[in-house]
Amino acid sequence: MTTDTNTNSAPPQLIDIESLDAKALLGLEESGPPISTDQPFRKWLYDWTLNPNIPGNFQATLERWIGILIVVNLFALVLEHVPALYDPYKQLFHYFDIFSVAVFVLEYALRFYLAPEDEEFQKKNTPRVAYVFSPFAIIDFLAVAPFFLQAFIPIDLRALRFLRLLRILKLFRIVIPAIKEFKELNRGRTFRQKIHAMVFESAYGGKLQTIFDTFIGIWVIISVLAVVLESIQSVSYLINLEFVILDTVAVGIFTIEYLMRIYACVEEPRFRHGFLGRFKQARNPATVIDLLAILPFFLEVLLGTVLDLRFLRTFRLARLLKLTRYNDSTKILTTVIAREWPVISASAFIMILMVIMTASLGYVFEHEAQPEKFDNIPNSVYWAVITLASVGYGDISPITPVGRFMTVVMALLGIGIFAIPAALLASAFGDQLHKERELLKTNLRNMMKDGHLDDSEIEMLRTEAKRLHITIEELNALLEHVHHERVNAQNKSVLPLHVIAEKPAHAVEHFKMLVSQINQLALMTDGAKFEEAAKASDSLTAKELALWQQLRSRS
Amino acid sequence: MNSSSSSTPVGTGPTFADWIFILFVIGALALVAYLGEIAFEHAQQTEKSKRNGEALVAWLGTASAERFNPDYPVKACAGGGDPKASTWGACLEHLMANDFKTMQNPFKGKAPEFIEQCNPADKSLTGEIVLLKNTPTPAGSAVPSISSKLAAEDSIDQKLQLSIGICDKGSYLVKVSDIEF
Repeated sequence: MTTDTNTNSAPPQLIDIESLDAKALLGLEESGPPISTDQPFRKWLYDWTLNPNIPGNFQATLERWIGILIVVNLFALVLEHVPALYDPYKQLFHYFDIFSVAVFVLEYALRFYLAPEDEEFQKKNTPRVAYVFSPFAIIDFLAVAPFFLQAFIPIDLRALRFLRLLRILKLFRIVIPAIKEFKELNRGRTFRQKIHAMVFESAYGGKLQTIFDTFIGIWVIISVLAVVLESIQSVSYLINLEFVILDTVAVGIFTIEYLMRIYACVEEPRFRHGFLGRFKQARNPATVIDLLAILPFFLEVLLGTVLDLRFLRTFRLARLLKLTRYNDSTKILTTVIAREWPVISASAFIMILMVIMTASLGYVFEHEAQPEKFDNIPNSVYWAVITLASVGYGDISPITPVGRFMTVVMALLGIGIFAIPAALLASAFGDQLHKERELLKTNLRNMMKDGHLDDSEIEMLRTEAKRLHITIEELNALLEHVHHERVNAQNKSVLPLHVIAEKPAHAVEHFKMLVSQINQLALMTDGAKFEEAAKASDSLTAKELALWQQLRSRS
Repeated sequence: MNSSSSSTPVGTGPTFADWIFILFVIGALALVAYLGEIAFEHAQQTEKSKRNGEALVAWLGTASAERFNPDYPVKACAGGGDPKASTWGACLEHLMANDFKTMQNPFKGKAPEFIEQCNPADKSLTGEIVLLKNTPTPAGSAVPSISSKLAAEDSIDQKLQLSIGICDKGSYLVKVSDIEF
């Protein structure tokens, strides 16, 4: 989002604080996008659906859903090559193909109809013909043509599938502008800085960085789904080879991402140093997760013949943790855990102490009665944890009166002790959110010192409000509060008139200031019209008018 | 490898360090591709083992419907005759000499062996076929049947419930099918 402000070559837009509105700030105006209904239908439709310059219209949404449909088409095409999946669901695949073609044809028709409104084609003699022969339109045509072609000419299924693969080219409509924007943003920057812009959030990433993140996110979800499905014997039996290919591709992608992060991290202020910076980045929890996501693949293939490392496959699920990089709530939770670690560790210590004590008492009182269940203290730990955590499976339970009494006491204590970390985290989480909201207030005060907000400040406010889950009402109250604070502060900077009047020196200065203001007014306003208005409304006395004329003639 | 400010334009072409990085990425990708190829080969061998198991299941399934007919041609595998004469050992010997003459354990390049269970600690079992007979337990038992190895001396004169599986690259069991023979 920050990139939009950087790419915009127009002068920064300043919003006066008096006209601030939370809904407008959050991009949730009730009035909707600025599209007039008093215009021709075609123009109106273009503004709503395809005009990239109107914020709040359906252009971005349409583009996103078309992009998703293309990706799903690609996966459908891959899955069609798996007979075990394709044969039983052939009809479903066919219906999906028809649906996709219908959507793509509608999109093509819409673009064709609206071509005369498009900036790119409207200056041409025949805008629609120009559209038809434009590269993107040719790609769009190729994406649907094979479907219709097969109705007239018998095409080999493999050839047809290959032709359908051309649908992926439709993604160029999204990727190419993003690449252009990325190039523009990174003009004159080094290769490493460009890599940094691609993988780390910065003002230079633009839409391409968002696409890169989305791409990684999609692969995380696909590979985690694959791990889950692989555990289903009937599925794994049918498409084991496909899982192997998919895992290799996923590891390839994640390896490149990992290396890019390690290489370009030195562009981040906190990882400046060439070697130590990279080492610091490698120790970063998010990067450790990245490593865990790829390590099982390398270890299993390299050491699989020597060691049984099949269990490492489960660790591929750690890839899901990669998504935490894109979630701010996880960052808050990490901060909270780090902040409250001394208290959490103290409570964990007490918990461990209680578990050992309960297990020992259980062993002491129950060993004789149930030697097979309470055979030693380590084995009693399982029972102790299940009892203290209020889980109570019931597979092991005390039978002696003393053992039962002890269990009642320890279980009651356990409820309190085991609840401490949860309560601690919950309260610390709320506290952290409160702190961050207070910080936002302070930032807002600082931003409003100059009386207005610029684009980057609005963007920052929007992002923070979203991150901290601030509602429109809360933001409006916050804006009003800060605005009042500012007005009060301004009022306090001017002394009351009776205080000024008490000291002649101050009174003279004040008079000079007033005369100066009248002089300024005389210079800035049309004198003739002023006098005409004053006489017409009788709002000035003769003396006042004479004074005005005197001062005006002087200035 | 010197760090530079992210906001200072310094140049556009890749530096020596950049080229090292590019080469490293290509090397890493080549390694992933190579290891992927190894994993794929292993998976393919497992697939071939599964085909062995499926071929056995198909043969047993076909034979199951016919082997109790008096004119069933494969006498070694026929049912309903003398319990001492028709044994699994004789039937298997006939199968390996005729129908499954070309069957090979893809991991070893020789005829697969019929074993009782896979053992991840014993890698010599990769690609072998697990063949178990399931004997039903009396009503009310905790488990519906007990599985045991179909030994060579086991009689096949009556219907048998069989479980077939194979051992994959890691000597883990991959179940192929349960079938009545």
